[in-house]
Amino acid sequence: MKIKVKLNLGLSRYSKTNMKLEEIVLEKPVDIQWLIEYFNIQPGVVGVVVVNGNLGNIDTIVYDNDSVEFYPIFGGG
Amino acid sequence: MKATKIYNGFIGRILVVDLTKREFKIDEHDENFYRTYWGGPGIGAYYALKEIKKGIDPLSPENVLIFATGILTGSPAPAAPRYTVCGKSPLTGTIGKSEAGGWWGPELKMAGFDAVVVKGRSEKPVYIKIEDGEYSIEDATDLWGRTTDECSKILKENLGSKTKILQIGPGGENQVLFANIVNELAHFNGRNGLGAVMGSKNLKAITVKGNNKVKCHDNEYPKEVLKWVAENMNDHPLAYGLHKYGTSAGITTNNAGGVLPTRNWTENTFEQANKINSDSLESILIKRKGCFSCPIRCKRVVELEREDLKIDPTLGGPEYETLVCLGSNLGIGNIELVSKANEMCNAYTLDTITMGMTLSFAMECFEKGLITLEDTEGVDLSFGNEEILLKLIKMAALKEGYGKKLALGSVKLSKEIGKGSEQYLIHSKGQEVPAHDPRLKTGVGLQYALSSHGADHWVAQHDTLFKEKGSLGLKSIEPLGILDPINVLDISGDKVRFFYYTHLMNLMYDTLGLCVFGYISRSMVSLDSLVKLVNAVTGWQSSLWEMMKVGERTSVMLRIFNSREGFGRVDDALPKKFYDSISSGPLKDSNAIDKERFDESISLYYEMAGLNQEGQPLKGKLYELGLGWTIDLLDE
Repeated sequence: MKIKVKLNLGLSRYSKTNMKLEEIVLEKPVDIQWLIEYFNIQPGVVGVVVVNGNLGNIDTIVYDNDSVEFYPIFGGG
Repeated sequence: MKATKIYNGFIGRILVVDLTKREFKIDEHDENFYRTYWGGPGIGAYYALKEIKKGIDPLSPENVLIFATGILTGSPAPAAPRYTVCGKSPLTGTIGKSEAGGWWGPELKMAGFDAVVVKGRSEKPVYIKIEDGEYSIEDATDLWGRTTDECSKILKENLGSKTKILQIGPGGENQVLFANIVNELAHFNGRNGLGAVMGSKNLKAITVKGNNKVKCHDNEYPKEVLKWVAENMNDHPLAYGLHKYGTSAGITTNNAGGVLPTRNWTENTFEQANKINSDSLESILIKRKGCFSCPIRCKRVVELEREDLKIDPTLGGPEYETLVCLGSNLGIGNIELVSKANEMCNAYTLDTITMGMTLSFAMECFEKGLITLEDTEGVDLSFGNEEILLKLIKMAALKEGYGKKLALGSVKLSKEIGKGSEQYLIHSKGQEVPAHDPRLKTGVGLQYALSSHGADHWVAQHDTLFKEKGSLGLKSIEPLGILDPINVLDISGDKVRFFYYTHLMNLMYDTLGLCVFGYISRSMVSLDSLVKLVNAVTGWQSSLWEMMKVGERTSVMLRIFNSREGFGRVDDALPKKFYDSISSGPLKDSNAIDKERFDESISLYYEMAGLNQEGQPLKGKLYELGLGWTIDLLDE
């Protein structure tokens, strides 16, 4: 199965392919936590998760052809 | 005249200026004074309690302004450029308290003073000049009426380019209730209308120039930490983000998360967010800039040279709050226009948050028919009307046309409009909320309600940084004894405790002159390193416990000021808006804050903080903090 992951803003530095939008081939559905670890992003750095246009969280499962977006945490400006 | 005793970290001299009598005196407190009140709002609140009588008009000569550096300000410690301005706020009637970074604070210390206290009122426009321990009152008649860039040019030509200038623009001169104070054109004591207080004193500027480095017990450790920040900031996700994107990254994240204030908070996503986000800012960004001793360089410098629109790069680029308050919250998606609006607010010294929120309030009233074109003198206040933005900012600064109404701020404007318009207000204690939705992070709701000086989003740390086990944020506050992840939507004793401890920590930072963008949890320098920094600079054997107590002492002093002015529990309130669900976007119909539970959290806070149920400090708490001398003030 394939999913698309968009690493927004500063999260693009965690990309494995130097691209903001990555396509990942997976053997089976995974949860968002797995994806965050896949990209070696530290806990708490991803602030907002969007899956197929809907808000998700670290327990959300992603399936074939799903589209995921990660946005960095914003703690006050 | 120079200091008679040499201290580490601080100077031991506070300049007191009486503009009415045109007299100066120097307060030379002993080391214990500084070890008790430290600096920033600690000294600010001390002088506010001693010098400002109960019930005075904030725009009268009886108000006092205190400009106080932090203990670490001007030292080689990283991100320690700040000073605090305190006085009675004309916008809220509470204590006014506002910090700024930049360059003025360190230069004041290098010029031989920890703080400047300004009393009275000059008969005509003046500025205070401080240079290497010497001081004078100078005529500012030719400077009055000038924007900040014009005034800065003249003063630097006359006094030398090393001179650092703190000043007000026409907004402050005209006593717009939300006028602010700027140093070096781009660093603001942004909120509470303290610029109007300067204007009421006919005080245009305070210039400082000094050649004496701040003496430290140990210079090497602060330099080591500064070097470590510079070398490692790109590996720290939060520090890196602040450098690369500034705070404008918040537009993209908050819009995706469904919490971007839009059209006076009637909506929560903005369809044109991509026209005011960090990507759009890139088109006019020319460099990143920082403050004294800070390698993070979070500030944006923008420039535009177009026939119909020019943006001066010296006046500062827009931050997240401005992009919202002059952008999405007005229904305006135009980065160039918003950046120009920001530049104008800066040149006139108007708080962009209150300016924007007052305008968005007026826009909602206009769209709902509570005010008409006749009331607005022909100005169409529809959301998204780009044509009116720049002219209304100028009109507000000069109090011309409908600008005279906008200059009141939203709460007083609402009283003039009547007709139930107060339902569209979003404020605490008379100051409009910044662009953070507490329905995503209830700790921010506690910040808005419990802030001594009206709604403020940096009274404590933001819940979202601590929601995950193993996160940088949560690890960073383990020394405070907070070990479990914070539930962002929770309102319980655990949330109150989190708020209370990080509130004391943030105030402690203010007394040290630190910027939160250099220190945990928003950035990288740890509490352990901070204790070592304080001891290295001062030569004290301090501890995190003592430092948190300074934060607590400051919090209580600010509260005493307000109690004396008649503020009580009813004022420690969350704007009603946040008891309603989020109205649009991915979080539509969810996240309403439960009022009863929120009220209970206020009661819990009072108990934790040693306050009675009107929010007044208990006698035992005052003695515990060494504030026995304030007991009589509470009885006034």
